[in-house]
Amino acid sequence: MSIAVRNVTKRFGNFTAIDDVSLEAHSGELLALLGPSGSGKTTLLRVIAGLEAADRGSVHYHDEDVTRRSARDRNVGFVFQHYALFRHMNVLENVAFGLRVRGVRGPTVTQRVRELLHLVRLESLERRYPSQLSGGQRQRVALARALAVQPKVLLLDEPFGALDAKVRVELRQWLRRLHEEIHMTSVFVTHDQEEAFEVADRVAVMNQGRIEQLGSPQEVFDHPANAFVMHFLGNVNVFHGRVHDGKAHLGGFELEVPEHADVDVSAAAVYVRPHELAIERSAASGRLPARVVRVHAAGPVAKVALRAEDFGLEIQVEMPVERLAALALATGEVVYVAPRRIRVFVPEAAEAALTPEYAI
Amino acid sequence: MSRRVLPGFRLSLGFTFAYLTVMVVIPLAACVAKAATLTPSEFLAAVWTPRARAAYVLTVGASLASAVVNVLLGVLLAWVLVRYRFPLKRLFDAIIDLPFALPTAVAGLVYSSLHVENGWLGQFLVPHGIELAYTRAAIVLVLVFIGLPFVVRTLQPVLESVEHEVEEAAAMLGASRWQTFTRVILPMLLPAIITGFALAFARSLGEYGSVVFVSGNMPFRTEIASRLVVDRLEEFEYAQATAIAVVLLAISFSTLIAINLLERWSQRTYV
Repeated sequence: MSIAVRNVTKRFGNFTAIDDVSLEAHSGELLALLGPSGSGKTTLLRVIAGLEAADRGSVHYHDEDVTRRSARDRNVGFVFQHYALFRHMNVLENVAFGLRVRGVRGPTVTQRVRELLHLVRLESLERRYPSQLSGGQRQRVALARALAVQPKVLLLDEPFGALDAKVRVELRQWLRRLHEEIHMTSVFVTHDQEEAFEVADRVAVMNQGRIEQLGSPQEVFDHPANAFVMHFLGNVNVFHGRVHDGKAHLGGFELEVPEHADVDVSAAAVYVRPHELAIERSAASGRLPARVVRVHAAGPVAKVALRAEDFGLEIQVEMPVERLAALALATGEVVYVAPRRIRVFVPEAAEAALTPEYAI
Repeated sequence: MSRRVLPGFRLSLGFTFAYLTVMVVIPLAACVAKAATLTPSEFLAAVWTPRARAAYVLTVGASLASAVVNVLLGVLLAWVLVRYRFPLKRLFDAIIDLPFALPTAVAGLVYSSLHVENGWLGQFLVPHGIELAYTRAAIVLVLVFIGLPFVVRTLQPVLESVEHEVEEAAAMLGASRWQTFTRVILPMLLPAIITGFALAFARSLGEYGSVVFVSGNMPFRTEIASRLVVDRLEEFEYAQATAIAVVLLAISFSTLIAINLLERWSQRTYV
């Protein structure tokens, strides 16, 4: 069943948490709401669930307008960030809760609960209490509990946010496999772009109560709609300069930007991802001389920090460790940096990139 | 024993033992020793008169009744104080503690003078048959006043710790508000309710000052066991007085143990 949000606005006092957002999750799709904290992603999820009432706009499940319907009548599975398990009930009772309050009795309940515990691989722990489970196990109980009432859609709020790194990676792969088994329309909230890209069919990148971009992980990563999305999707080099006659002037350095041949702006931002820069030994046009400041070779990807002193630029480059070994860089030596792919965002878009520069 | 981070284990443990000995064990032992000067038949004659039995029943009964009322009132009050925002909330919150600080004799006097036939409240209530001075109901009333803060103060922090998300989770699973309250919130509060009940009950068993002023101390009708002890003392029958005190001690002690077991049972699952 599809979920549609139409022109929804939600304010808390003077703060606009969601600003005229429209969004559709197709039937059977796993959609991620990705954004920094305060971007409105959790509020949007709660509006979809019925836990918050939208000030304006409407929410539709399939063709049905559910805007005025209370959360308990929406038949939605909701998984909370901190699990929200009932601590006085064991695993079995927790999962059975939704069935019990609907008046289901007898062996049907136990049978249905066992099926779900099998699905989340917790059959052997049905007598345990939440306090006796690990974080990952609690999250799976919460998921089983949400699925027990056979919801039409599944909503997950930062489902892996409170888990440690290794467990989150395992659990998100497992969630993806689970989704392929049950194919329920699902929306989940995350601030982790890696998580969103790995699990979701489509990603909605949110910022300041708006959706900046909606698309498949590949589309969003390869064609970021604006500077904010570019920024948010990981490390990026930002160079500030002037765009004129299809060229970007950065300090004294020039780059060809044919797609912006008709613009003339004095405060453009040029974005280059660290892995889209190559380090060469020889000078050529379009290559920027820079001094090697630091080399990090731990892990599969080597990170090199450089400084182009003539232009006052700090540059971050990533490359396979094999390439680094072949180059045999020494700290302090001067090399030439060649961008393979650059993106220019004109100022009104660049304004969106007000997030602190955790890139360079 | 391994070395502790903080020093002073022996000192603090020694102090604790010394304190308990001087403040609790020696007085209780003296009490038992005094009662032991009676022969078994004298002891029985002192503690098992019809008048004494009526006093025990009244003491325990009134304490139980007041503790039950206090639990109901206390849950409501704690709920209101934790969940809602309203003007003068902090003042209300502070007033809850008043019975802790107020001399209980004052409470007893105030209640009795309010509820006598021509008192502020009595003039309206007594004509309708509601006599809350010099009756058993009066005892329960004043014990409710004395015990209330114990329940409220025990419940408040626990209620605050119930995450809002848990209620939302119940609602998302289709539970009505009533189902959420009875199946989720109330069971989570149960250990604290039992603790609050125990504290209010124990406090009521030992209450003397307020009760003697509101009850009228009529033997067989409104005389509590502590009052009987004082009666014996006034007749210079010290051994008989301590014998009754020992019985009271035994009642308190066994109820406290029973409540402790109940508490442990209610928390068995999630501590």
